[in-house]
Amino acid sequence: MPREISRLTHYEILNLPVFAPPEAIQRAYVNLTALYSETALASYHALTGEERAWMLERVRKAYETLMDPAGRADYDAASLSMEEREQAARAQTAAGPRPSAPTPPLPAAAAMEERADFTRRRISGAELRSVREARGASLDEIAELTKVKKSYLEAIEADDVARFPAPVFFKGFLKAYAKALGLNPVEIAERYLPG
Amino acid sequence: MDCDRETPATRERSIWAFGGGKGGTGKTFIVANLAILLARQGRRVIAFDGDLGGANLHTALGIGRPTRSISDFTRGRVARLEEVLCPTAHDNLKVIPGAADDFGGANPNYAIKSKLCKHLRQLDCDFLLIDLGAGTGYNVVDLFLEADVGAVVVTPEPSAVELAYRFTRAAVYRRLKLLAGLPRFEQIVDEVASESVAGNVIRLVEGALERIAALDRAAAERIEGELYLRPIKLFVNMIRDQRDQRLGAQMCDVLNKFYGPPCEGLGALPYDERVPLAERRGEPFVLAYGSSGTAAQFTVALQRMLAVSRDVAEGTQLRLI
Repeated sequence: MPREISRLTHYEILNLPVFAPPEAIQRAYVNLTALYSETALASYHALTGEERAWMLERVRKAYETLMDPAGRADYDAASLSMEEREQAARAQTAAGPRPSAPTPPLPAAAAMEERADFTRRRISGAELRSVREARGASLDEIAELTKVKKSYLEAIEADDVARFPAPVFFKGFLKAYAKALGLNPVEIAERYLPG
Repeated sequence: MDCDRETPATRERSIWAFGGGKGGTGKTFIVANLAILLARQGRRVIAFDGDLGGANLHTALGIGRPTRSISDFTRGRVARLEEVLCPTAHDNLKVIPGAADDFGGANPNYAIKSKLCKHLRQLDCDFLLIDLGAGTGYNVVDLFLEADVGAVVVTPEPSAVELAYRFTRAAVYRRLKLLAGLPRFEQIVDEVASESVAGNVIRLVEGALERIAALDRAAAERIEGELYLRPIKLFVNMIRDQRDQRLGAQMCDVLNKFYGPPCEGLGALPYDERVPLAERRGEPFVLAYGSSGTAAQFTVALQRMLAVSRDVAEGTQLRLI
């Protein structure tokens, strides 16, 4: 169905995965507030004043909700699927304790990151899984084809990089998986989310 | 660059159009240099000057005064489009020059336009790159929509950004009308368009689909599927500073959220003072300054093009949103 903007989740509004750390939320907030402000080149001619104000409100709401641990937990429980919640929880425990006050991001670093993201939008494991399902291929079949253990393939689709013994194994498995799906392995390896 | 050497079985064949509404953003420059890079990798490339009334792609490719041009075809002096193909100094690269000195040839009527589109699709090549003229009229937008992949070229200046959005809006609206097919559906699109506020294209898309779905759900689903199938690519040129660098990502965000079809970055070139120097010497930039940062960015864009084209050829274009 059309992606009605009013139905976008807080994460979608901020263009972030469900396991995004507070630093990323902070950065997205700063960038998007600048983008939808009145003087921004990229939104001035594209949107009406009303639309910009509406977006700024959504961005602020998303930021406030997700930066508050309790608020975020409530929101995740109410709005995310079971699977997304698991992903988010895994990322939280893997990352350990967080600093209480978010540090303002360095503008230059944020710009660099955005630039990298612009020509290569990140691809998540869930997107890869949907491609695999669209091809009608089971994980067992892909495992057979690639000689990669099924549990590793599952980890790729769950964005669970921590499950791999070393980054080099992970890249190799990811490329084999991408190739088996008829995708460009080099590009997928570059664009895969946690990499 | 291990993806350069794929087997012939997975060779891609695709049509790319570069538009954007404003003149002077570097569409011709980008098309000429990408065409040369593709040809040098062994792809058979045809560059078509779709700027019917302001043609200069042949100049960018080092051809002084072409002996043939598209007007020989649109005027019916030749029967087949292949007959106006001009060789260039580069192996594997041919060009169809635009009308250089012709009155009226720049405004083909509907029948000629349809014939042109049909012949473009039948050209024997791996890549057809269409360099579009300025403006958001049907002659320009229809050629943009004819392509497998449409790239919008923009520079970090208010006029270019404004026209890039207007161009995208015109393209989405036109595509929606073409997909609608039936007159009563086209009428719905027009009605919703006349009610829509200036900026909000997604409201136009969703409003029209909703009303069409009320009459014929299957038709609405078909239109929607087709509309979202082809992402729009964004190419930012003449980047001067950190602020400019963010423009591409920012425009993608606006387009993704408010304009309907998904949008992705294709390339980002820095402002480079050596561009006119190379042109004055009659040398393609990517060859004259092959080791420059600008040339490196061309290579990045080229890799993305090849990846997208492969997906298009195999029908495995990733649905990104």
